[in-house]
Amino acid sequence: MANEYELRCAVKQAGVDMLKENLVQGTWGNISIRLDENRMLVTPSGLDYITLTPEDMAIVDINTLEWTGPKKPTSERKIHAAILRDRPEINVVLHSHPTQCSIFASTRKSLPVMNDRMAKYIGGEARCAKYGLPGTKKITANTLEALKDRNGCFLANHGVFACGATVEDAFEAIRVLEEGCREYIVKTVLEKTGAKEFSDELLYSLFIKTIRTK
Amino acid sequence: MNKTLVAAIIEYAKKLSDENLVGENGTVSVKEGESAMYITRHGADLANLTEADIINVSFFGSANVSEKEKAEIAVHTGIYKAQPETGAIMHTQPVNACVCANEGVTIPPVLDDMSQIVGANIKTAQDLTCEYVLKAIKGRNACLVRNKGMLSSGRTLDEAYTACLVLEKAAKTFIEGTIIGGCVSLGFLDANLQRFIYKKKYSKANQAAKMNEEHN
Repeated sequence: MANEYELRCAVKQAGVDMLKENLVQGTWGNISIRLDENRMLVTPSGLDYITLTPEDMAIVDINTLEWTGPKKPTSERKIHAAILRDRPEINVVLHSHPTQCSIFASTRKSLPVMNDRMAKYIGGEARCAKYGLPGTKKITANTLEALKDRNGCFLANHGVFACGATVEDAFEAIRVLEEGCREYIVKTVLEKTGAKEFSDELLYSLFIKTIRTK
Repeated sequence: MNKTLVAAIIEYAKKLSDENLVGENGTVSVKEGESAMYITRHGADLANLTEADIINVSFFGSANVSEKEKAEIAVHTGIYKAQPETGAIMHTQPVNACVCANEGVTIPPVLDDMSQIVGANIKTAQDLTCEYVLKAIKGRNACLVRNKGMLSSGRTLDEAYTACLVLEKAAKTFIEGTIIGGCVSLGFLDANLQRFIYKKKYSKANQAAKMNEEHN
């Protein structure tokens, strides 16, 4: 079991890695890691992942939501805490708004199982949590419901939550969702146009055709 | 010349160019005082701006500007007058926003960050004139302009830049969401509520520091 400082560094590193892989933009998104039975480490609100230090991470009680630390933890800590409370096998939770997942979240559809990796890391189709205002009990409850027996779900018109027993598993979960969404979109464009090869021009002309016939 | 404002324009113009958010007609302006602005010249290369590419113009009119610059300046002036809190404006041409603008669409509230940061929904102005643009951008931080990309505004360059990025992402979401079966947008009330809460709560603290950085 890693000590607290190592876990703090792991949160920081996960943030930097999400940035590198274009899974998060700017100061958006947030990360939590289980510290012990009752507490988690979570990224603070509104700080970019490069300047963030391991010491900046807040400690939040997952039952009472009381927190300590030099900076206020993310307002999405309620959802992180609820997932860690509800799912004892989960130790790492990632939340972000990467491009492809956001597109899916705006349609409120489920992403079917696209490949074996998705079956392994998500555990089935990825559902979309019903819409709720940020910070409300409703959005927390909707997220838990969509995440049932899964390690990833979309949030309507917002973004994605992915989780796992380890940082690596949670990362794989968010990666397979982002890649799976892209694959789904490309497949749809090819199916609808009958084209053999995908291009941006093909996608834009299909969009224009679709809205002009509406 | 206010060296700080000019340097900030050069910095953000480079960012826009690096992120492929501008075509040949990208323009950046920053308000100076209550009735003037610094603005980039028509056709300036935003990747390699120098002080000579940036002019100071009064809201009451200026000599030595071309016809094309006059139209652009009139629109920026119109926005500064209509939105007194606005301190910076960017005219950009990101790919997905252009596709939507050229079709003249209104982008519905497909993502909550768009509703919060840019506006409950995003309209297209039929042309780059005060009459069309002010109507389309009213109560918002951006609008699309038919065949001319988008305009985004903010209290600071950083806010106008963020609005540009967020709207481009929303445009991409609207395009690709439409293709895979259609977006289910936020309701009118939810979208406006998100905007209201964001403006009240979150933007204050973040931007106070950045405003100090840019204007001191």
